[in-house]
Amino acid sequence: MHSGPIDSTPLAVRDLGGSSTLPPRRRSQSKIGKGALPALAFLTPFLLLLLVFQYIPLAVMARSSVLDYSLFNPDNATFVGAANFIRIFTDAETIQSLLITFAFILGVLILVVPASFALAVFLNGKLPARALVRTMIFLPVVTSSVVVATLWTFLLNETGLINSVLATVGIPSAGFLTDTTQALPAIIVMTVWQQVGLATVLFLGGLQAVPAELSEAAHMDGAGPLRRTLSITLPLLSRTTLFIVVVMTVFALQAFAPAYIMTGGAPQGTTNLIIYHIYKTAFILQQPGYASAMALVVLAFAIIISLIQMRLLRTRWNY
Amino acid sequence: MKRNIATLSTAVGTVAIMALAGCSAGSTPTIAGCEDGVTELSVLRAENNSPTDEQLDAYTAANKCVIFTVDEVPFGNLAAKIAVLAPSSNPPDIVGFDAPSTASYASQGFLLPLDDYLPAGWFDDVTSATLTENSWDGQVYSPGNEQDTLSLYFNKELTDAAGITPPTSLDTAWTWPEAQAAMLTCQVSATEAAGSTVYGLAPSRLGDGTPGTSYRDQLFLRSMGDPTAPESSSAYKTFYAISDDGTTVDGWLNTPEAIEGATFYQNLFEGPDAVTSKTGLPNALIDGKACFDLEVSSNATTLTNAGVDFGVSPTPYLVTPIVHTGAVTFGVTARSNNAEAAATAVVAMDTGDQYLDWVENNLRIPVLVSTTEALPSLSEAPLNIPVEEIQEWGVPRPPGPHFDAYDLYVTAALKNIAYGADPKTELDQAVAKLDPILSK
Amino acid sequence: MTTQRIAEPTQLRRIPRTIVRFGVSFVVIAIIVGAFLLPYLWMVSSAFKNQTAIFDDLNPLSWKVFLPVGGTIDNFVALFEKGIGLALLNSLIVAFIQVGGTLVVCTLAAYALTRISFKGRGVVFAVILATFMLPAEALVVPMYGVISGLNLQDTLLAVALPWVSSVFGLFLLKQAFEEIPMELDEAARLDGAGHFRVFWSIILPNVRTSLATLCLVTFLFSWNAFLWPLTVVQSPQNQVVQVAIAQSVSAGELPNWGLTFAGAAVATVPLILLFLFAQRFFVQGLASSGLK
Repeated sequence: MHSGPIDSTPLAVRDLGGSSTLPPRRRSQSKIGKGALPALAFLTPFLLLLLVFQYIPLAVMARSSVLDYSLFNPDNATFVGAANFIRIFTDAETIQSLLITFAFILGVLILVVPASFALAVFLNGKLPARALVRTMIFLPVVTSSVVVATLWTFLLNETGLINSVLATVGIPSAGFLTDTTQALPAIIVMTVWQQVGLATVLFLGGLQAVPAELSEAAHMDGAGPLRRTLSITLPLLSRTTLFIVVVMTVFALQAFAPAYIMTGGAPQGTTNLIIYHIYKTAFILQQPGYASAMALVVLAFAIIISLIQMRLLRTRWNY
Repeated sequence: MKRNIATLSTAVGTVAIMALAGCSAGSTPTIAGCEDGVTELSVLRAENNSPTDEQLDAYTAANKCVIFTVDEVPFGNLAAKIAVLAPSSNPPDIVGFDAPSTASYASQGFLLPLDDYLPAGWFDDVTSATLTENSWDGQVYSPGNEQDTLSLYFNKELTDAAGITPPTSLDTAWTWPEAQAAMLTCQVSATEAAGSTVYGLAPSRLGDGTPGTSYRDQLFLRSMGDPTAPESSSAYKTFYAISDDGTTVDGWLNTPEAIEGATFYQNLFEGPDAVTSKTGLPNALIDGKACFDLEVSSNATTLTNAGVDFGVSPTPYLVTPIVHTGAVTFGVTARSNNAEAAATAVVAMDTGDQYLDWVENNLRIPVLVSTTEALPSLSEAPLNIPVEEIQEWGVPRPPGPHFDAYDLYVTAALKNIAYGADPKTELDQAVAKLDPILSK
Repeated sequence: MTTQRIAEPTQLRRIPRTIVRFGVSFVVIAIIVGAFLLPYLWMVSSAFKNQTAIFDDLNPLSWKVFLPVGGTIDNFVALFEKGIGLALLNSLIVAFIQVGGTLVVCTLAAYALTRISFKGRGVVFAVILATFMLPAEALVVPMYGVISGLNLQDTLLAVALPWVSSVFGLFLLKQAFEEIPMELDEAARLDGAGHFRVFWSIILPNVRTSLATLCLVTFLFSWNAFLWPLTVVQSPQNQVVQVAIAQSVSAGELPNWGLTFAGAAVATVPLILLFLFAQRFFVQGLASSGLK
């Protein structure tokens, strides 16, 4: 099927860059088939949908964020300028929600990145039952956030499985979701449980792209496994790590099911994740203008994070 | 081959899209004898709630040129669905909603005033709680479909075994300390007998099954008040829990009496006298996992069908006996395209003979005094307790156009209190969050 | 020389190291099984029990917790009476629309961006890339406004349509298309083939694996979606399975645990089975796409 010289090294290796022994990146610019007209034909469905379902809502949201109205009577809107935005930074509940979400993201990252790295190292080795382990940790990834939240509601219940297990070792039941100091950690652990499979697989892909020669050369020079990991593997994985950090951050920022299904933000707002807070403000408190302003702020955070990633990876997009 | 699969799924997808697009089109049927055409009224309601098929069919039987198409959602989603359909281009003609939300919907122009359609003498016949609940700014927005309230159900087997005889009339109703003592006794004896935890008071199934739902739990605050006290007194304000003009709750929700009531409420969940659980336990009373349960009147039917030997006692109180009234009712949307037909239908279903028949067949508690007097079953057990509670102790939940926000924050505060937060802090915070919203 | 020097010490240390290795892996596997597999076993076996049985097996904890001992299918019967069959069908329809639509729209767009050179290609790229950074959940409210403006609210089409223009899919395919050498294009053009012919006969057949991955991943996203179907669909008969089971947990009445577990099992097991059969595609597709 393929004809001509094909570069068969995985794309990942090519992207490591820096080393002059790697083949140059192939430019995929075509010299044939120019013309905007066929391009338009091919692109229209995608761009049209993008415009209708991403850009127009963005514009609507920007407009809503300076208005005050209720979903019942959208025509009856009053212009309030920056009042909604000012309110974000003066409303105690919103500030708490932002801080909680921030703490949530941090908690997830601190747990998920090391855990998935360790698992990836494990899966990359020659130890037994690797496929089984990989399958098991990936189960939560393919499970919806609703089912995960439901399952964990029962796991964490006062008479649920976890307390039951604790009881067999003599530890008294913990409140988990009804305790102000345990609720947020509990949903962090749940989210880590759900995402660690994905992060592990991503790390695994990165690990497998590390050329074996480098590792072996270091081994020859007498470097132990830990030294090899620290000096060779980790630096080469920096791009993967960064990608995982960004993916996990975006997932955590968008978390909704834990607050909606498990806690409703309680106890005392310690699980009031920002997306849930926005949803509640728009649909229950009937303040979609304020909710839109908050959503714009969240969007800004997400864009900043993504831009940081792009910058740090210095990705070159081929045109 | 993957290409063929891709082609196939594209084709199927296209067909599905076309089928779905086709399904959205519909046409009004024709009925013989209706030269003026058939009026089709669209109804939105909560599952298992009014207007029920029985009520709608009875109306069509009497007015064959009017038919109904029904859309229903789980009760917990009703408010959200209404919020979504209200601004749309074809809102439903008739909509079921929770009575306390009447002021909310009416003040935003969602509902149609029905004063012109109500029969003569209606204002004298309707119970005062219903009239207050279903009105806004001097106009009536729903004739009211039924009333309901909480009563204290108990498992006779468990209470007998514990040697407890709960009161069965309003005059001998328990105070909450008395009730708690009885619940504790029953809890201890039943747990011992069963070998696993049996709660004195079942965790409430209301809301999402976690504590705090204001329908039940705000009673602990309001019951500490006194409606007969002078209007400027703290006791009076505690009872009413919102200012008369609905613009503030400061000094109404966070009074010293309310805080005391909240502290008592908290000790039901924690401490040596705890009689209930902070986490939900579905079907606790039916499964024999609880001795007592505060439940609505339909629970009688549920328990009977489950074969439980039960009794009904009045809701306990702290200082003043009180129960919350308000059930699902239905009205007409202001932007309905068939307003007159819908309004006529709604009023006909909830007044006169059609109403009497429906109430009788379904063992509901009616909103009209005349209907109550016409049905002997309402003065007998088990419905006599809730009926009397409504008549003598019933007050609506604090009315106002921002009830949804009020309910949300009061429930959240009560939940936090149940979980162990400081009552004063929580109530003050609820006030701080509510006052800006209420004063708009 | 150097190799010989290292060989000696490792020979002495080899035996304990193997034991350590197996010991560590045993512990890791045990933890993974305990943390990941057991909850699923609990969920599935509890789905076959009634309320009292579930509690009895928990207090005190017994091994019966993980097996449907004395099982009953009452919960599943009740679920299907409540209409979960319809919810499953709805989820399937939505997934079909989304997968089909995504395949069509993204392959076409990826072709344009990799095979056709035109002015403004960079701009188009930037425009598409910008939306990648928008978290969908934050846009739910205005997206709903757009949908109701199109009068598509409460339809299955509305559940799938906004996600058909998937930037993830586009990039996955872009990467796959770039693997195909330009020489094939040129050869076909010399034979007189137009763009669509090249697209259909040359490009598509050579990216089967990526197409399969895209199908699976899109199916996964579609089946597991929650917030958007929750917002856009109100009628129970149009509801998808994730929302149907969520509504039984948090809104309205608190149902019994057995029923909820059964719902969760029904919503999850199809996807787990699909995953088990098509693991290779899922895992490799996600792993390789991540590095871009």
